[in-house]
Amino acid sequence: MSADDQAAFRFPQGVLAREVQGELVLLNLGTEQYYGLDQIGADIVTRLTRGPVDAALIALESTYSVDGAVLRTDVEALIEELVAAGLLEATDPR
Amino acid sequence: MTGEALSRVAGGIRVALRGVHHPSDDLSLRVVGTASIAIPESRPHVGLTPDGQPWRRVWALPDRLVLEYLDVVTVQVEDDGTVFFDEDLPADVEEHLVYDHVLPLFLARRGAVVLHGAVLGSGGAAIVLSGPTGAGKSTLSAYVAQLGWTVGGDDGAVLSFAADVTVEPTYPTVRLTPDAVQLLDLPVDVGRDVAGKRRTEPGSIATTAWTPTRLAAVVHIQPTDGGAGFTRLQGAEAHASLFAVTFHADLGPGGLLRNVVDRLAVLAETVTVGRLAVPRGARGLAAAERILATVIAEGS
Repeated sequence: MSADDQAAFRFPQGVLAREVQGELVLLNLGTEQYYGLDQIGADIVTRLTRGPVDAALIALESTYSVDGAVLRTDVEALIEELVAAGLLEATDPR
Repeated sequence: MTGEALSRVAGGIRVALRGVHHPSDDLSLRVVGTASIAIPESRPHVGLTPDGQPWRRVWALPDRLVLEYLDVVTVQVEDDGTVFFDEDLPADVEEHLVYDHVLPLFLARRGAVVLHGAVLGSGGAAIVLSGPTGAGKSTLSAYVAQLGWTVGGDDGAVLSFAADVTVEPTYPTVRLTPDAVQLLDLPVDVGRDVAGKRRTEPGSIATTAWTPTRLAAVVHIQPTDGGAGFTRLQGAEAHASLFAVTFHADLGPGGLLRNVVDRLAVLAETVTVGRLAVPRGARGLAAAERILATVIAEGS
């Protein structure tokens, strides 16, 4: 089983993700909802689409030397925003 | 109206307005007349003004575009280049719609990446000067022409992606408001009146001899009451700024929007992208031109 098989989130069908100079643009081809992520946001989303949430949080906390509680709050807020925009979806919707 | 179709537009397309002779090949965008146009039942793409008001609805259908300019006219553009309007319009308004709205969308639907902006050249390189309607693209274009720059056009920029990104204008003209004509000290009767602006003839301000030229920068201009300044954009912000000024080809079947996103990523990574604050008035034009000269030199 690869890390991607355990990914917490994925880009829904019809969402285009394109890396630009280390940052990320997301576009829902159906609704034209467009979203740009800076390098940190891109890193967060990339990790969430490649592994479990807890693994992503551990890696991000180490990379950015940020308080774990603050990080979790920020990541959850970003997830909520992207899911609401139809640009990200949970791989296991339970 | 009689005469030959205008051939000096991008992509090898010849444009024939109503009543103008056109060759019967599939590379012509030709207005053939007035007809009833059915509004599709599918969900349109809605264009909004800067203050959020809808001004245009677009339906991309498998074989045609339907463009509804709210409270003005509906246009049907078939993939073979045939164009119908649903009512007769003054000739100048029809010309404006065909060149400034239909042509770039038609090119985009054929897979071209088309930015809404002027095309300016100097020293063997080019800049696309973008910005919202009224920002001063045309005025600044005509101004730099007076200083020796080559101007390709003031409305649409067609990009080609090979070893370098090259650019050519959708068609060679500049449209100036009466205020711009006065500011630039041009004859009040320069060009001819088209939809409330003076459209200069091809070959006067805008050259008819433009060839695809390596693109050095895309510059988004913003009028300001402050000082002139250039802010470089990168990454997602640069991409977003380019996406905002692209004639979207979502307007068609087959992944054209995906191609646009990929091409704009290449663009953001290979040319200078930035915002240029342009002070109002003649001094602002002079300051903006000096900055543009630096930007194009650095990108050459």
